[in-house]
Amino acid sequence: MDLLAQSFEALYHRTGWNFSVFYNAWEARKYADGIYVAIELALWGLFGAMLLGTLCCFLRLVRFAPLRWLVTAYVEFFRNTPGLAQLYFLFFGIGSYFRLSSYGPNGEGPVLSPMQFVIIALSLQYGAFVAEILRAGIEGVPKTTKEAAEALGYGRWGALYHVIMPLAFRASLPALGNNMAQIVKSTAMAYAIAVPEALYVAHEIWTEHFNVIEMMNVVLITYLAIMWVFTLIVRQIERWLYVPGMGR
Amino acid sequence: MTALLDMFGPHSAWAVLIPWFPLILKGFWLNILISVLAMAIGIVTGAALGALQMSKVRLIVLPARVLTLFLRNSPWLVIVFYVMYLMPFEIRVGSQWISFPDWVKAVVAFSLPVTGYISEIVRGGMRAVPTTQWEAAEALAFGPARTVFSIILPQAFKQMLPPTMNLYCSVAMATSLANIVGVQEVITITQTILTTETRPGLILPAYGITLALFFVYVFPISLLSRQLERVWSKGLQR
Repeated sequence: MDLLAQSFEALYHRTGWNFSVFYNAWEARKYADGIYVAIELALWGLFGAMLLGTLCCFLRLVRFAPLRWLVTAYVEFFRNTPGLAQLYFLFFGIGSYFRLSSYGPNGEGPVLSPMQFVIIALSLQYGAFVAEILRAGIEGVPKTTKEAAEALGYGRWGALYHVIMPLAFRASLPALGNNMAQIVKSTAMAYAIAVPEALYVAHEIWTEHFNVIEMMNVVLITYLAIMWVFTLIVRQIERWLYVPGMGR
Repeated sequence: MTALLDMFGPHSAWAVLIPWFPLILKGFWLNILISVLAMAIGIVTGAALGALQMSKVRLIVLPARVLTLFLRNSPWLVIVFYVMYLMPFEIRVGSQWISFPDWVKAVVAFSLPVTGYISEIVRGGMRAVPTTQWEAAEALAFGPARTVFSIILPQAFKQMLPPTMNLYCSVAMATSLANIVGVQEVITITQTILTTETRPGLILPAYGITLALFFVYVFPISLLSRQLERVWSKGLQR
């Protein structure tokens, strides 16, 4: 590690390329924290989105029509509006209206931290996408399979749980993986409300050292690396859940 | 009841916001402009990159693949930052100075990820055309260019249009990211209005309006794309 730091410092003195995150211990620490925050946002966002998406997917299957319409309205609205506008609406709009994001009159802290707002925004936005993906997966299960489950005496929800969902989930895995990649990329928008994730920390660093080009490249590589790891994990999950004879 | 009436009275949030509407719409117009131009540029460059991906020479395929992956996997916001900070604000051509206002930079920034996605859509679309079509074209003595343009592309078009429309929806929504780097698009204008009026009660309706604007613009496109996908996928399977 020391050797790496020294070589980057030497690089700076010799060529002027200032990769300060690699030799300045304080900045290295800050940037590592930034990456950690980005991953944390991504994981919580993913968890929230899966939870909300699955819930919405089930709610769209109930017989009570108004509930279905409500969920469909939610899904369509959040799929077709920009995430950043949603985040602003939640953080500045809802947050200030219900006094969730500001300090109270007696100095008590905000109910929800900016980071929690980002997690909520990510969950709401991508939950809508997950709901749609799962619905497409359920529609993709052959009708004969559904009829076979019925013929075997499964009830409506029993068939869903034991027969349809396992198939639908596996069919939706690639799309879910894409969605997850989108979540990872979207964590960068947390920058907008000053959550110290990788991009924000990098911004702080380059305003200090004027090493914009170097830091931009570091940020880009960081995200690509995170994406790469996530893609590998998704592929591994796909392999674990692989059922012989299904698909491909 | 009075609370309900207050919502529409002369001092209500809506009454304050209505005079600002033309400005908000002007901001949204910039969003549309950025997205359309970025899409137009991205389609041209993306089609070229996609074609390179289909090449038979490995030395061309590999860099094209890597570039596509790179463009698709970078966060849009990071790309926007990248272009905003690293693109010169004016360049000299001969004795003329050509300046790039920030919204032009935004167009360039958004055209980059579009290039990556289009490249992948083109590749997928060309793949979906059966190999026999290529062979038939060869048997009929079509050259490579004519094969692609008059036989493969017309068939791949149906495969490629719905995802391209979806991509356009994403781009239109992503233009809001330009707000972070200070382009005068609809959210920036909303924020300016909010600071001008300094009324906390306005925040919720003002951001609600921007959300609604985006929804009204994007939703029909995404509905149409879904409709086309449904109709055309039926025709293809048979």
